[in-house]
Amino acid sequence: MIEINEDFIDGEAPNSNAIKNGRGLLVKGKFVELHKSKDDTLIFGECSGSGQSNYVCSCDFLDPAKPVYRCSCPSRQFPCKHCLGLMYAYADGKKFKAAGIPEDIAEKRAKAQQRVQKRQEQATKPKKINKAALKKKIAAKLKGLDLLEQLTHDLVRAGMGNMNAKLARQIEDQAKQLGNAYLPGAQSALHNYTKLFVEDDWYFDAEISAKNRERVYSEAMAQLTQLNALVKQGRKYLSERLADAELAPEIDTPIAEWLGHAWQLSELKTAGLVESNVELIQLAFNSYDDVARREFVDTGVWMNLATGVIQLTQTFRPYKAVKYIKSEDSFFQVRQVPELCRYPGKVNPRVRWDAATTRQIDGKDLQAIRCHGQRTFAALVKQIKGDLKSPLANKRPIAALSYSQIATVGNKLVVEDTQGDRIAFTESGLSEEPPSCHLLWLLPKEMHKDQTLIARFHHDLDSHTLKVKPLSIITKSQIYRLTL
Amino acid sequence: MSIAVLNQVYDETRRLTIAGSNLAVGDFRLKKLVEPLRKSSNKAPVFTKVADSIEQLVDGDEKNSPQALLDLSSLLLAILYTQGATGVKGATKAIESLEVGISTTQVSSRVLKPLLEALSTTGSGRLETVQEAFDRGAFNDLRLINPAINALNDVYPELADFVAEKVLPKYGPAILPEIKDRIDIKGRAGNVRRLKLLYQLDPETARPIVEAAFDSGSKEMKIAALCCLGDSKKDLPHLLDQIKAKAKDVRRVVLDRLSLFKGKEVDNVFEQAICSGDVDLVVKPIRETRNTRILAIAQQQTKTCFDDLLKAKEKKKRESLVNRLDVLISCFYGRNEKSTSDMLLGLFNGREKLTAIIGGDTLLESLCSVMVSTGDKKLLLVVADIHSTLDDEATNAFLSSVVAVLVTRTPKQAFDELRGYYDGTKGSRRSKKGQREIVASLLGSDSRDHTYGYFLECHGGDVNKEMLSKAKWDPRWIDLAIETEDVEVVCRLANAKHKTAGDFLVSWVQSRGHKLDGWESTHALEKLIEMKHKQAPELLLATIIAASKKKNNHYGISYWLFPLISKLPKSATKKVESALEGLSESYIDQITPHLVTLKQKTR
Repeated sequence: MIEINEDFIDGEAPNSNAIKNGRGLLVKGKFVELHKSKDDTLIFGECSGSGQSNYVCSCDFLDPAKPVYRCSCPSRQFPCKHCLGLMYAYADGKKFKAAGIPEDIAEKRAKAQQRVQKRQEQATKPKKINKAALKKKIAAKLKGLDLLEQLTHDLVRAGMGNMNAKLARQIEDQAKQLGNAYLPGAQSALHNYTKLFVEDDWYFDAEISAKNRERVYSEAMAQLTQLNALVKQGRKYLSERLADAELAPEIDTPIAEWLGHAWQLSELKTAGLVESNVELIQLAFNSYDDVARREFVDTGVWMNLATGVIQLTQTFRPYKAVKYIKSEDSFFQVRQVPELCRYPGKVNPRVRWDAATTRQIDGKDLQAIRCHGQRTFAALVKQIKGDLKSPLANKRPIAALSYSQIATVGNKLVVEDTQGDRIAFTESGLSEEPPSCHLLWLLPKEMHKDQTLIARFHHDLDSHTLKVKPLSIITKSQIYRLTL
Repeated sequence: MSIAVLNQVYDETRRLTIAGSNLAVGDFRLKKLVEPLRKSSNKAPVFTKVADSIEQLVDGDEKNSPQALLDLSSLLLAILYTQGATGVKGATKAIESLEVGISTTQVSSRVLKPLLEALSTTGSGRLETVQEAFDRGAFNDLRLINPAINALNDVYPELADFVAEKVLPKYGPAILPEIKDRIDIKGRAGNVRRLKLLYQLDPETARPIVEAAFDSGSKEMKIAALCCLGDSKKDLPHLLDQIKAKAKDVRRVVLDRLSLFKGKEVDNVFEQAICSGDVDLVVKPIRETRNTRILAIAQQQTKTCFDDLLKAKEKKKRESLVNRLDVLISCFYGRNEKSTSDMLLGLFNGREKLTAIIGGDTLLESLCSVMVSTGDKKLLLVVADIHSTLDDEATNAFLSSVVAVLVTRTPKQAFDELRGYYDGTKGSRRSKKGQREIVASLLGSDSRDHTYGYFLECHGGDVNKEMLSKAKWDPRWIDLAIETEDVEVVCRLANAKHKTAGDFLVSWVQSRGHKLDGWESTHALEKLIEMKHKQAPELLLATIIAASKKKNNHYGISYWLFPLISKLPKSATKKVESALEGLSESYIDQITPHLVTLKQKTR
């Protein structure tokens, strides 16, 4: 059995209410039966509820990397409060009687095993494609791109100076059709443009002030070029797929995801975008409300300890299902992932996994992160610039920089490498990330020299400079998070 | 690559994207850049592409202008992204770390994000979030320092005050630059808090800003600055200038700060204030002053006022003198020099004439209270002697006299002298009830859960409480309290060694069938838990169960009884868990946090 402690259980809980309710069941003494299997892979029990019969819940650790939580309650949260309560009882040292594995669970295990086998078999077989349906979908997407092109042209023709809250609202209404055309990525990109012209609430009630307007024009111009590139590249890609329905989704660029392709883990594995036995450490975290897609997005910034590549995890929680999907939290341990799937894209690719275990961070892990930091900024900057020129590229790439000092030059705050190359700091990152530059003055002075900085790059089009926003600093003893 | 021309093209393209692509057709400013681009094309072929793209836009038609403008923008941005400058020239200067002393950033996002929102947005429930986080120690994270400083401007003043008074002082002088740089002397609430905080953390650094705010700040900042003046001799003229201010609040602050100075000018100001209607503004300064001249003036004025009162015949004048004398007497609260004692004794000796005047009883009460507060034994002894001469009108004078008895007599003497009031064998029929209540209120008044606490607080409570904290109680008081079934007094006087008291409380709770009928039941149960009486858990749980079966008892149970669960000994956890089975779901939900606390006590 894996170690079940309160940190583990809190981490598994979908939200803080579930934690409170799970503990409450234990406190109230609602568990009438507590059992564990002789091989220590299963804990199960019965919990009295409001109905006549008890809820039967179990936590199955047959595969420690992928615990399975089962309960007869109608909750759609996994693990539900009964499973959480059961684990709290175990962590609390309650007496669990040894018992045989119940028949229904044995059956479910067997079925799960069959499913795994079946999935493995299916993975080896070529996937059947409903060509007619796919063509219909591609045609709808192409129509959607036509609409996007038309909207983009309208915006360019009207000019950014004439953009106002009313027009932004109209565009938003029309952009809903992009969602219907299976192009949520395009809808989101359009929203990223319109939201620049309204104040922070994003509900198009308050128009941006004249003072702030001047500041957004350059960013807005970049968004328009991104929409233009999406139309052009998207049309080319979809046309090719329409001509050959069996053509696999593009894996060198993230265009497929932009055009609404939801990658399955099996697809990523088939495409070879998979790594084995990976260890990851989270370096930063952020969470935001994507109004266009009507969902919350929790993003983790991780470093792959073996390769030093900075990768992102993203959990999407649609408004409608927000209660049932686990909200992610900042994570302070090492994630051990037997099979890590990587999404297409070169810079900070998104990653996902099906199963993982955890362990505590030690000095060697921190040392590994520090070793992966770029020692010469010039090479890194050249690479970042090369990546940024692609219109659909991630315009806020994250990298690790090993610096010799963080200091000021005049009133500018800079990070400098051993060669004397410098990059200025900026607060321009993502709106969901809190300001972090001011924290550099609050840090102990030993952190201003010879450490590793995790930073988000940002090209400021107005000043034509490439700057960085500090996210974390890695020392020999700990990770100092400067945002979330 | 010379990118000056490219930057020019970018600026023109940006201008046209703002104005609208229709205006780009035939745009001469953009067109004139084609030539320099073509000239540079031999150095970098990409310039030719840019020139072509410009011509396509400028020479095209309005219909195709959006696409042409987008193509030009895309090309330009792709080039400019590769040209981003990074180098910052000049000598570097090491960052002067503020050394806050906090070096962790381990608060999880689930805790940090709501807290950042509470500190930086508006809406209800934010103060609770901040208070809870403060109690949990969540502010011990670097990332919260600036949001907390920004919260000094919060629109909800309670939240801003909480942050100013509780949160920010914990960070110490390290946050001074952040506070100092953001003070606007023309500002209001947030700036007032910043200035006061700066002064609290480092008066020297605050000095120039205090002076500037005083000279040319807003009204609010001027008052805040006044509160910070008085540390330097230079402040004296500023303070003296403001003594004639129209606003009473300003005059109050000025007099308060002037009390830090010595000198003829200051004495004159105080003399004027004491002799005028501003006497209520100098009560605090006189209580704290070491200036013998000011003190002598106050004493003289008190005597004069007393004499004038005795001579006054007009009703209005008498009323005004009664009020003035009351304020003047209160100026000597807690003072213990001989001159004050003599003056007070002089007034006390004329008490018979005083009580003959309407309002004289109130003055006697104030006088007795002030005499007790001095702690002078001579005064205490004379006040202690008058309790039997007082009627039911002079409640507070009786209280002061009983306090004086408890402080000056031995426990045995005090019991013999006062027991009659407690058991009802002493005192007139009219005053008996009130006097018993006062004596009962003072017994064991050093106990933290004193029901009569408000009584003491209303009547010079702090001094009385402090004095009585040293009082010792004759053991016969507790026997008498048990005899008269005074649960409240038993609870106050008993400790773990009083076995009889414990048994009395157990039988009292049992005899009432575990009813929850007021604070006495709760106090009895709480005392038993505090005494670690072995029957305490059973009695508490039986009372909870009995009370839960009655209607309209919800508030009493959840407010009084449930919190007691967390005070039980750790060994009672199992008993509590098994006793909860019979309770309703909503009660169990309310008990849960207390039970969690009890369980955590075991770890």
